[in-house]
Amino acid sequence: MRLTVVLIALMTLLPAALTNGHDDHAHHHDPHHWENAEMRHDLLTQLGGMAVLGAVAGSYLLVRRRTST
Amino acid sequence: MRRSLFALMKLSFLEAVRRQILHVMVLLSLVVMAIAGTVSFFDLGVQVKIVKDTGMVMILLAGSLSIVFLLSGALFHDVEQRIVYPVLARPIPRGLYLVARYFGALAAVYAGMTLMAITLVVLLWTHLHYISGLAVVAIAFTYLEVALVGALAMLLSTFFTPAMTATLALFLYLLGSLKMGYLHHLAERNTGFAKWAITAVSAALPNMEAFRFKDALVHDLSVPAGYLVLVAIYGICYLATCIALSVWNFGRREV
Repeated sequence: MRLTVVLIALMTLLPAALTNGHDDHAHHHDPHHWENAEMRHDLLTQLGGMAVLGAVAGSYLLVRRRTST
Repeated sequence: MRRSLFALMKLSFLEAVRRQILHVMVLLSLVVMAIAGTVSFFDLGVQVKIVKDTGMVMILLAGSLSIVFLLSGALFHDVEQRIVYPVLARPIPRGLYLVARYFGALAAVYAGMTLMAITLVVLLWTHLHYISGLAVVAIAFTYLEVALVGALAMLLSTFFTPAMTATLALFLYLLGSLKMGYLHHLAERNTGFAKWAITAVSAALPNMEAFRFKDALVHDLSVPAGYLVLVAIYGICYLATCIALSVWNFGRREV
């Protein structure tokens, strides 16, 4: 019951908060995220980081498998 | 192995669809969307924008909150109520159990989101008599965003208690949404250790803003296809990383 009350409050307030945020952005004429070079740079940087993490984890697993057999 | 995966996924799905939180979320969202779509205060152009805006926000909110609340306590309760022991006593890897738990709950949330998406499409069809391709794209990326939030909650649930997981997941989700607009500016304004710490936190946080194409849908703007592909690859890779880390941590943990 308490959870339902909290959820109703959240669901009522958050859309309003999100809409206000959008209006502020529109007022300052910020570029949309798909037009933003900084956004692409951030996504590509994180993808690079994940690739490095994957390579390190893969190498570790490979070495561990070889040493255990 | 595949049979075990589907059997566990089915169990997880059935458990999730019986949870009251999912029913409340879907029902509330449908009511809000129906009110936005039927109560007419404005001319048609403004009314359609309100329907698109409200619909997309409600699908995202209901999906994100549902998946966080469903997954934050899933593993913890399985261990506490000893449900996990008879399953893991069979030749089923822990990783498979975790993946099935995740995809089962995600399927239940997707079922609710699909109901909301159909409502949005019907409302748009009633007002406009056509559906733009961008509506499908925006909804698809909302699905991907919800899957990512779920993977984040799953990862946190292998480390923390349900209450802590839900709070942290929602906090990180909010921070991830403010990453470009707030954290980057905050890092630029600080120096020394504070700048380094904010940059480090920002580098690890998922970029949630990248999945939101609500503005493009509401204002009928075009989005480059290359950017959509980049965001899709990013979302899938981040999700896979979270699941891999969850499997690793759940595998080494004592249950």
